[in-house]
Amino acid sequence: MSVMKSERSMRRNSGSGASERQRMIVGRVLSYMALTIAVLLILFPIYWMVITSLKLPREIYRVPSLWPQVFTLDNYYKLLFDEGFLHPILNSLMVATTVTVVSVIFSAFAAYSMVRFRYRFKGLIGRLILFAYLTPGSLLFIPLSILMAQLGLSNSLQGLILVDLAFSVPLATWLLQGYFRGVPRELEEQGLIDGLSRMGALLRIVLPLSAPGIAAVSIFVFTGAWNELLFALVLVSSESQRTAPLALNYLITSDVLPWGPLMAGAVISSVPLMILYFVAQRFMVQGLTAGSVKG
Amino acid sequence: MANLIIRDVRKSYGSVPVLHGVSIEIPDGEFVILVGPSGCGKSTLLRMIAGLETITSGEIEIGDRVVNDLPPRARDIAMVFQNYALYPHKNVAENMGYALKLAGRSKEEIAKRVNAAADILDLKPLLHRRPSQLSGGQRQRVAMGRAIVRDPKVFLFDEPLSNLDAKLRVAMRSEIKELHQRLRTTTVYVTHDQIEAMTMADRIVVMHSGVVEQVGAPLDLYDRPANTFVAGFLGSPAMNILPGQIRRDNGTTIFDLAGGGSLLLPPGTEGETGQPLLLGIRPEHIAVDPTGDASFNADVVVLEPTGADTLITTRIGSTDLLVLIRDRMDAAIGKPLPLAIQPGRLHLFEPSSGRRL
Repeated sequence: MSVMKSERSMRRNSGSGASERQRMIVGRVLSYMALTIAVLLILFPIYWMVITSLKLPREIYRVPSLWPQVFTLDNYYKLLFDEGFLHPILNSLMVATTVTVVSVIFSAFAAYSMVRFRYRFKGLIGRLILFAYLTPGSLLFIPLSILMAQLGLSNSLQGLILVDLAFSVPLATWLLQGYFRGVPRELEEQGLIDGLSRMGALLRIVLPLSAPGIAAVSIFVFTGAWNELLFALVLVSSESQRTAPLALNYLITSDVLPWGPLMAGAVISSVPLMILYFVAQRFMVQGLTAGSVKG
Repeated sequence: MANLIIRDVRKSYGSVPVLHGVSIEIPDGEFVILVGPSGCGKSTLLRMIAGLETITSGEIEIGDRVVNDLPPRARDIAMVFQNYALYPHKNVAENMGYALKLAGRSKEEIAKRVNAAADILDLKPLLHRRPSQLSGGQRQRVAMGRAIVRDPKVFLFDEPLSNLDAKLRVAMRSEIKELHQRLRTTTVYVTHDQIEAMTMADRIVVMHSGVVEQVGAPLDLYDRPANTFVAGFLGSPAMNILPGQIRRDNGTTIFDLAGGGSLLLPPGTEGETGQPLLLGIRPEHIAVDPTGDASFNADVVVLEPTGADTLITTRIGSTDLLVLIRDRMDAAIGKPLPLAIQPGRLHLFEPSSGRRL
């Protein structure tokens, strides 16, 4: 009797196990479907950009096709040699790299002081930094362009760098504060006892342990400066000082949109960012503080 | 090796005072434990000795040198933190040798001293591991190794065992004590655990609300607590502290409890009669005694046997009295239990100040 009962309950159990498995499979299928849709949504514009840059003009303006009939590098030739696109790319690299390096250095000190020191008006300063970061650029471009003109820095990359810094330093400071807070205070104090100065503790303990954060912040800032169009448009007038987005913008004459060269320019412009993300992603995944304190 | 003198040290955060004038003299080689409930200022005081907190007023002297204005690195101290604070990006050997490296010592000397410390603490096989690859107990030992490698004037420990499980804690307790007996370095150790304080310290400093309540050898504090706070804080289970007054009647001494009922005190107990008092008696100093002249009855409310001994909560009138007994006996809930207080084990305190009489 009892044996029969246990057998029956076993069968029932295995039955519920099967339906459990079915439910799991359905769940998997649904989540993969959702992920596929998300990937398509993200990748399709990039795909479209790449294939458009490889099409001949007549094909671009005809009925859109998912695959080019004839592959051509004409657009790239035209952009690089007729339009001299290499120069604005170099300008952009200069601006974005300088903005990134300067922002990270300044904001590392600012963020460290916000996180570790006690001083008057700290809360107010913190809020001002956030406020500066949240102020839309479109509100400030006129005052900033007047300021740059008075400083004699309009139509120069230096002026553009300064304006970009006005937005990237608050952002970087705000982000770095979060990463610095994650470094246990005791590690620094141990450093102080071991023989480091405050500055030494920041440079040798806090910064190495915040490396993933520094990488992330650098990428954010670099991307922002690299993609920046509005201020470049307002501040820069001469051709020699154009950045990549600005140069692309100037390809458009009245209502004619040269889609082929534009897309080729977009592809070239995204290469540095892609390399940067690829290099830094490993860094960002690593959890460097594991095991330092009781976790 | 050095003595450590703390002279009327005060600390306030803004207008909030957290230490109200602390003075302690620690001779060379002594193991002193600062103990008290959380928020009593013991960690703040330790961090002030380390130089991690500024000193609002007063003086701290390490080895005959006032260190008030010296940064931590110039004080020649080593500190072990509660969460170990090992550098995650360095391996065990690098962690232990970092202070020496910063001091500009040669590679050979660093290796020699790290190896010597690793020998003492059984860390040899772990020298090339990262902190993340170590267990809690191993990390704790590395943190200690890092401290002894430096051969500092003073060791500072900030609740170093509170992140370990109970068994490991007991093992590390004797390990630290042994280490101190071997190295004889002046040590200040902070804990909230009175057992750690009792078992490890040469001298205990009991702190409460930013004030030193009493300083003394563990057994002195146990035998003669200066006030009700120390009496209640040291010893487990805690001392019974009962309000009431003494009455003498036909050669017997009786303590009338404020909450009703009374208990018989051993003959010859001193103390003013008719005055409100606090009577302190430790649970382990009350015996079950059905035959004695000085026995009184109490109702059993809760029985908590632990194997080695039994904790009995009894009630007289509306006052609870804890009793700890070694021998097995047949006490039952609701049954009256004849108790007797061991002579010479009573503590009398003044009710308003809590001070010992």
